[in-house]
Amino acid sequence: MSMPREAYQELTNIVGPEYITEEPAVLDGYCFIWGNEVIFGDKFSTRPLAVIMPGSVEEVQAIVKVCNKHRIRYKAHASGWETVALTAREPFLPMDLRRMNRILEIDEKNKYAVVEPYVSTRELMIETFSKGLRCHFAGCGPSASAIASSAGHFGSGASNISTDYGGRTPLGVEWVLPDGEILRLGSLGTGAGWFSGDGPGPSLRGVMRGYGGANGAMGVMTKVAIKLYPWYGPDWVEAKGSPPGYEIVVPKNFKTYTIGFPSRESQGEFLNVLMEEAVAHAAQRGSAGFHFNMIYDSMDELAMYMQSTPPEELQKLWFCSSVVLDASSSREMHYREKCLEKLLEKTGGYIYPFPDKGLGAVFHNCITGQGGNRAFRASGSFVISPVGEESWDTMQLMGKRAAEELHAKYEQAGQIVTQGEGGPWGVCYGDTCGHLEQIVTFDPADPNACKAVGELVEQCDKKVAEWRIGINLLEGALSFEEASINAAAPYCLDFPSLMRKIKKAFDPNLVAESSFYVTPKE
Amino acid sequence: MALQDYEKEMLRDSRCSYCKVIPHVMMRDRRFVTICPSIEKYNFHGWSAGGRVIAALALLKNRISYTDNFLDMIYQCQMDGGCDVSCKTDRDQEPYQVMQELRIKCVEDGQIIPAHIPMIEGLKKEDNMMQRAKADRGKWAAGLDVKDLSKDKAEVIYHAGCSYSFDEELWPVVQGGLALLKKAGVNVGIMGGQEACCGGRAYELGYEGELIKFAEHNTEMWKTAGVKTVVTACSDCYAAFKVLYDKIGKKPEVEVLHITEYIQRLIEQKKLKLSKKVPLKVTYHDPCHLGRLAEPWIHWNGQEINFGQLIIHDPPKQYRKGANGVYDVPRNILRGIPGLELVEMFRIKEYAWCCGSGGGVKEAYPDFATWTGAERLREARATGAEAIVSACPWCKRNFTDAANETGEKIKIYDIVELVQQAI
Repeated sequence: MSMPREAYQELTNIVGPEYITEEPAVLDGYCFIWGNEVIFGDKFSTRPLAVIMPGSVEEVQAIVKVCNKHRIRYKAHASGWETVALTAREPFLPMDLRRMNRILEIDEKNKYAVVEPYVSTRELMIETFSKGLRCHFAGCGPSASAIASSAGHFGSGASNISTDYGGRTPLGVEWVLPDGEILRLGSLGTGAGWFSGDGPGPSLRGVMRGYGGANGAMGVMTKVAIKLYPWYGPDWVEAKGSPPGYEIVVPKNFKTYTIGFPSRESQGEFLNVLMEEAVAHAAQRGSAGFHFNMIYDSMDELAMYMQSTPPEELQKLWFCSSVVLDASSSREMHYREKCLEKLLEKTGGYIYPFPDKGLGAVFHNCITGQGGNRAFRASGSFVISPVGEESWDTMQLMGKRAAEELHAKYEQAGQIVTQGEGGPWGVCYGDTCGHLEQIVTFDPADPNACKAVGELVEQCDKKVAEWRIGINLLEGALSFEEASINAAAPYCLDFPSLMRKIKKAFDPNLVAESSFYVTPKE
Repeated sequence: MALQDYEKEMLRDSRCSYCKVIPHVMMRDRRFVTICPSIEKYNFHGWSAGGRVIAALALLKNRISYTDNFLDMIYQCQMDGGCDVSCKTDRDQEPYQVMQELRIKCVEDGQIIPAHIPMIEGLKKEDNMMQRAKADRGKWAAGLDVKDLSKDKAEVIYHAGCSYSFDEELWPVVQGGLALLKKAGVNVGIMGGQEACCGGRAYELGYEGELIKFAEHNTEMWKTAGVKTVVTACSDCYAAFKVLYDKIGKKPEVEVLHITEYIQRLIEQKKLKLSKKVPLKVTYHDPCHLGRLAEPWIHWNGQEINFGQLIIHDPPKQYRKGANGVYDVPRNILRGIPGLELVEMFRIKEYAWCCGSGGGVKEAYPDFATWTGAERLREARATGAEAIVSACPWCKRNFTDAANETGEKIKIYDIVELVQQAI
């Protein structure tokens, strides 16, 4: 399928011939992404019609209007490192926002930064650390777009405990709606500046991104004011040594811990109280493999360590969390350390003696997400299923049931690796909320494994709904063509039908590609 | 390994784009966080290492065929290896080797960039990449009173390389290097007109056979000459002799050193003394072929094991991650020069930005080459340095061209020139 010539010419007129292409070798780079092998049995999904690269909101708006005129489906992305960004069954027009990479403003007093879509959280941190401020980031890593993880996707990272999840961080928003109109959300909508997401002015974050994130299906957020939080560290975190791991020096005003727990319940109690006490900069749960993966320079080294370590030693980290404390003064740090100490006493948690290099890596992962990419190192791909956002206790329960009732048989068949109930990665936020992801590792070059994982994801969709403990993949990742929300709909007042109506109201021509959101029909 | 041998690895690519920026932990200044000139200039994902890995897989699977635009996508790349370092901070992958094999496949399939044809024809006829007559090769050394190792014997052979041999503007540098060796009393000679190309640049373009041919020729020639040590004036030659020859199973039996390494040795042996003041604030540019691409080759013969879906290797595989290039030697020399102040750029050592001239870019896409060089000069200027110092003729040539085109006034030196001033 190719794009009508008239439409292609109109798009070329908008961005110039340098920033649009139909070259197949280039287009294949925009339909290849992890996760496709589970959905399609192939790393390539459908080849796009073309790829276009706008440089301004005006160009984005003009492109969207041409797409509406010619009924061409489009979707914008930043780094594009997500299945939701590039995958669809029918050809569409990816809008690569790489040219829109400016940090427009950092308001130190009101603690926000106005950014364009291609600004990564790591790049934003470079600018904000020197001003004593930091931003929320996603667990996938520091390359993620600050806008994508706040205005487009769910947004879970270790800092959630102190920043809340990504959906809480956008303030004023400049939004090119699916039909090409521009809407300015929050205080920006009344010309009062970027400082508030909820007014004076339209407060439509629920429509823009909902709880899970609309994943590009509701138009293009071209500028967003991202909320910032205090940073008590240096202008940059010192890294010594050589690649790949380097050696991160944990700065003063921070303490990093890797903590083992005797049971799921004690880990849950620890994280619940840690949230209540509001003393942590970052906290996450992750398996022993997750944490040791930060230390070792290759999978072979990690495997040798895991194989040579007595099981009882690894068992100490079966229920494991990493925690970073920060403080603006030594007295405050003393207080926070005492809180942690009491909490460990109460819950039976114990500090695991990680080497300094390991703690530095864990620290950096907890403040930037660095190392998240190593989840791919084990085999080349993974999916997260089930995934949920509910109370932390519910999520812990989901992890246990999924490990026992869903994953075990695939793991025994050698089709996946999960590390069982100890495997899920998770973060906590808000009032005892939890986001949990069961990491399902498999080799994307193994067709049988890919097929098995596809079946597993489908089962997770059904079972999580049946268990009445949430909606699998609510944030959209791998919930292709409404798979998970339709599985949950019978138990949840058919909420997808309401979402479809909203989507249709804002996208009358249904041109904002929505394979990972709701997909209303004409 | 041929391109098809990397198919599983290509399927394990996740499209993370880490290859586009320096390792995140090393980011200091947002103006200087990118690592790949190609994606910075041409923007579409295909102009990144990750994009080329995907395209290589698409080619293997017959999803795409060769077009001029596709060839540009492959060859508008300096093959500087920065992408590989960034990729490997978190992944066990070999994007650089995939790109190299993709170029080799292009040549095997007869898909050749027109601008490269005269270079390769010249190489085949005249043994050099500069499209010049072989007879002129030794002219840089005319009147220097140095042994001709096609007739005499010496312990050390000083290999000038194609660039220094034929770029007359750079002759003072290559002559200066030889003068330093002679001043220190080194028993050194050259091959003069009989010197041949290292074959490294041709290999980067995809001409594997040329590398094999010149590796056999050069190693045999050194054997015949009875030399113990090869000192290269050029970083490209250094990487070819030290790394690529080993990679293809033709590791030289002689010691291979870059001129900076030999100068360091002479300083340590007190045969050279840096005594004169050189009052200059400089920054040092790591040549790719002296830095990350000079990391010794690691041979691995084993098998990949799918260990319950985890991918491991027997025996365990070690990866070249860029840490073991020649980084400290030139810096130590510069720090040893009285009065000279060395300041660092934001992208250094294994994550240094490329000068822009490698991989056949200078010849096929000169505007891209100077654009890349100008970006480095901008970074050098941002440090407050008065001069940028490198240790490779390709770097000096391209920086000079970029400065001339952009009007940049920063001084450009090879490290040999500063050592000469300090002696």
